[in-house]
Amino acid sequence: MTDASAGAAVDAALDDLRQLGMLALLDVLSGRPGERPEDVLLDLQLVDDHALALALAIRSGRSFVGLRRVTPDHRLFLYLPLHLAQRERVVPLSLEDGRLRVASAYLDPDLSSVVERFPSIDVELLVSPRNEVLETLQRVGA
Amino acid sequence: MSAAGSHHRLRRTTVGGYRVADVEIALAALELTVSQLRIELEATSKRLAVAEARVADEHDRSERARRIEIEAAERVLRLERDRADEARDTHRRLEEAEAEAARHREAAEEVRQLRERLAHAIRELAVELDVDQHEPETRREGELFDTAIELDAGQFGDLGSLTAFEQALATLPGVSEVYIRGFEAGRATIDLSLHAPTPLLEEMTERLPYVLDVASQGTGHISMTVQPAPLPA
Repeated sequence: MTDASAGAAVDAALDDLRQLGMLALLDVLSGRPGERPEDVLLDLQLVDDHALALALAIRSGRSFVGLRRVTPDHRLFLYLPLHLAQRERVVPLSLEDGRLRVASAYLDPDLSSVVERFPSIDVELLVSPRNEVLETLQRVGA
Repeated sequence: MSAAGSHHRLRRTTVGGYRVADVEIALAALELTVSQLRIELEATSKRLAVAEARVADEHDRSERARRIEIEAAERVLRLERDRADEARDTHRRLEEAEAEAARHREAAEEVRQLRERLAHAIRELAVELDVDQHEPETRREGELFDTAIELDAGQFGDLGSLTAFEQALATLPGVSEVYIRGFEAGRATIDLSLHAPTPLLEEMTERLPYVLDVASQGTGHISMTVQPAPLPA
């Protein structure tokens, strides 16, 4: 997904949430330029991150996965290092038939280093709530 | 060099005055002293000029530093004032946002209550008209389900229909938690937690404004297709 299409999907998802009364005012965002609008909304607690992740998944055509009961597989962090996962807010979920399924809080995480290092692996991105991604990563580090 | 040290002894001549040679020596010594004093005076004057220039530079530098300090203080003051203004503005916007969100929540609650009343009326009408004979044969009313149920439901084409179904499930009396665990190709995997074993399908059929088409079920699993119940024109 390109930056432009990811941005359009984010805008559409935020618009969905606003129409459903789950997001109040978008012009509050103008105070923190340079940051992801999703992060600003979540940090200010203007939107529920579960609802935001669902909206992003539906608008981007990706699958949504909740991570509340997911036990992270330490072996998968050989393919996607923990520091990269923490930086890009992603969690590797499974590796089957050369397909690495990765839960992501954003639509456009930078996983180019994984793709370059393992060109035979196909990375499939799923959308997950940011808080659940962070909690899952904390369980890895514990 | 001291002028006193150069005094020469003058000897008198036999006939009036001093000896010429002594006087010339004394004058030469005095001229030497004067020239040395002049050289020292020039050197001292130069040092004084350099010191005065340095003092002037330091004074200028001090003046510039003072001006910079004043400008910085004024800038800090302006920034603090701007930040206070922004904080007030953001606070006001947040308050407006919260008020708007509250209004939306109230409106959503009114819509939900209206929908429940309409669904109830529809069910009563359906019973009167005996049209509920087309309910799916796979549904077994009255069957108790476990307290943890995996509900596979679809089709949801947008966020609104999915969250409406989620909220409707949360209104069921025996349900303690609704957690959407997955969503793919229009179908949602929902974890339902119940306070106690409950005839969930019966509750859903009676209370939810949806037509339920159950594809499969077990004590901890239900798979169904849901459609909003038709509303009267």
